[in-house]
Amino acid sequence: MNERDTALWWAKARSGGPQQVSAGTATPAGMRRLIESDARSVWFLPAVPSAAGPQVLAEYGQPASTWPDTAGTLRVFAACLRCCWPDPGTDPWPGRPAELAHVDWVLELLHPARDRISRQRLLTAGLRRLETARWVLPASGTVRLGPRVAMWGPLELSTVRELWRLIPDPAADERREQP
Amino acid sequence: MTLTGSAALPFEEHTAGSAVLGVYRQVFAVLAREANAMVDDAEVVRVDESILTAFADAGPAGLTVEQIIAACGDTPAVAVRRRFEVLRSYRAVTRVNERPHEMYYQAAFAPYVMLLFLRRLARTGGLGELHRMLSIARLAVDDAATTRDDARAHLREMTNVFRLLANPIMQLAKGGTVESLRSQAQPMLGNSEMLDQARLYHNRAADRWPDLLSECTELRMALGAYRDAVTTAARRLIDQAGKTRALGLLPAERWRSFARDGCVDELAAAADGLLFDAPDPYFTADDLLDAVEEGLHSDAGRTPPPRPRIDDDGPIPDRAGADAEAAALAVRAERLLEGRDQVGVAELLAAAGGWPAARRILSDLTAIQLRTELPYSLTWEDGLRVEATSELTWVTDGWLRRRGEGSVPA
Repeated sequence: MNERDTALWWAKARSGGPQQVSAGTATPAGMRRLIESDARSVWFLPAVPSAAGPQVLAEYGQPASTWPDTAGTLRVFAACLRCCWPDPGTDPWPGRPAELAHVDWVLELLHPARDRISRQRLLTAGLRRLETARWVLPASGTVRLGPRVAMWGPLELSTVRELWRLIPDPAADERREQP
Repeated sequence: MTLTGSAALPFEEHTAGSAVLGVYRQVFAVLAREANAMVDDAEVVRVDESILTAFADAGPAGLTVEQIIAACGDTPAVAVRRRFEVLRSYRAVTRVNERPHEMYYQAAFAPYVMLLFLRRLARTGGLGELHRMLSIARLAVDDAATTRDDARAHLREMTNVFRLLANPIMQLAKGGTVESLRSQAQPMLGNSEMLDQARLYHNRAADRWPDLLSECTELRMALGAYRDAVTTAARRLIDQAGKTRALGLLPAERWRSFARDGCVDELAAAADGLLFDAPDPYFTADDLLDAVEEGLHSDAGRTPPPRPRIDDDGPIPDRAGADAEAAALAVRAERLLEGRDQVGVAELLAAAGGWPAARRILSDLTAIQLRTELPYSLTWEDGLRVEATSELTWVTDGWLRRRGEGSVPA
C-alpha cells in the first residue's frame, strides 16, 4: 500500500467514518484494524493519539460539533449500549444484536416524559444519526454496536461501565423474576 | 362536389352540405370516443391508428372485424371492437359492398390524414403548418388559376389565424402569471420571419387584387395585433427577467416551487463535485453519563396546565403580596410616630432634612393613609406654615395619628 492509497483511506475515514472492507485488504498506516465477528470483513478505524483527537477541542475551548437533540441521541446510544453489551466485564465490541423493541423499552426509562410516538421518532432519528458516525449498526428490527465503541480507552471504558450499571434493564429484571 | 352560383336549388345545397359533413365526420372519427363525444385518452387514438394501419396493410380486398382484431394483436379485442363501431358510425370505415351480410370493410383515408396532421400539430404547435399555409397562399396569389373569390377566402383565413394567434398571447401578457406566459407563449414568439412572410403575402395580394382592399386591411390589422401581442409579452418577460437576472433568469415562482417539484437527481445535482468533510459529532463518555443521569432523574410528571389568573375565590396570591407591603408601611408608620399617638407632618419633614428625604416621607405618609386597614390616619387642616428661609417654604398643617380601635377612619 503506497502513500496515495493511505491518504485515500484516511480521507475516506474522515468523510465517511470507519470503513468496512473485506478481510484480505491491507491495513493503511496509522489505522487500527478491527475484525468483524464473522471474520469476513474488517473495519479500519483511524487510530490517533488522544492529543490529536477531538479531545483537544475542549482544551482550546472550542465547541465540538454536536448532533441535533444531543441529549436525546446520547440516551438512544446509552440504551443501545445497555442492550447490546451483555457483560460489562468484557469489551463492548462486538457485543450482540438487540431487538429494537428492547432498546425502546430501555429508552422509555431514560425518557420517562415522552409518549410512545415521540419516543419512536427519537429512536429512529437517533439511530440514524449514530449510524452515520458508525456508533451503532442498525439492521432491520435489530441494532448492534458499531466499531467506534472499540476506540474507548480504559478510562472511558470505566465510565461507560458505570453507565451500564446505572441503567436498569427491564428485560433482565423480568427474566430474574420469572424463574 | 361544390356548387357555385346563387341559382343552386335548396335540395342541391343540402346535398353539397351533407357531402361536406360526411368528410368532416370521417375526419373527426378518430377523435370521437362514442358518437358525439371526443376522445380524452391517447390510448384510444393509438387503437384507431392500429386499425387504420391494419386496413392499409390489407390491400383492396378489405378486412373482416375478426381479421382486424387479429391484426391489432396487442390490444384487447373488446377495445378494438368498440373503436371499430365508433369509426363505422362516423363512416370512416365502410362496407366494401353495400349489401346485407357483407363481412369485409374498407377504411377512408381522411381519418388517417387527420391523425398525421394532429400529431404534427401537437409536435410543432401549429407554427410550422402556418408557415406552410402562408407559402401556399403566397403561391396561390401568383397562380393564374386562382380566382378572386379564392384569394378573398385565403385572406380571410389568414386574418382569422393571426387573430386567434394574437389573442391568447395578449391575454397571457396582460393577465396571466409570468410562469404560464413563459411556458405557453415562448413557442409563439420570435417569428419575425413569419411576419415578414405574411407581409409579403399581403402586399402581393393587394397589388394583384386592388378591389380586395378591405380584406387586406383586415389582414394588416390582424398582423399588427399579433405583433403588438408579441411585443407586449416579450417586454413583460424581459421586465420579469430583469429582476432576477442574478438568479439565472428564472422567475420567482420557479425559485419557490423548485424545491417542492424537483426530483432527487435534480436536487442532488447541486451537490455534485462537493466532498462533505464535516467532522463527526464528538462526545465524551462523561457527556453520555450526564445525559443518562439527567434522563433518569427527570420528573416523569407532567407540568400542570397554566391556571387562569383571575380566580373565583378571590385574589389569594395578591393578598399575600399586599400584606407584605402593608406590614412594611406599618413599620414605617411606627418609626415615624416613635411611640407617640400623633405627630405633625411639618415636624417630620423638618426632621428629614432636605427635600429628597422629605419627599419620600411624604409619599410614605400618603401610602399609609390610603391603606384603610392600617390603624393610622393622616389628616390635613387649614393651617399653613410659611418659612421663607427654609428649604420647604410652606407646609400645610397635617397630622399623622394612630387610630384607636373604636375610632372612625378620617
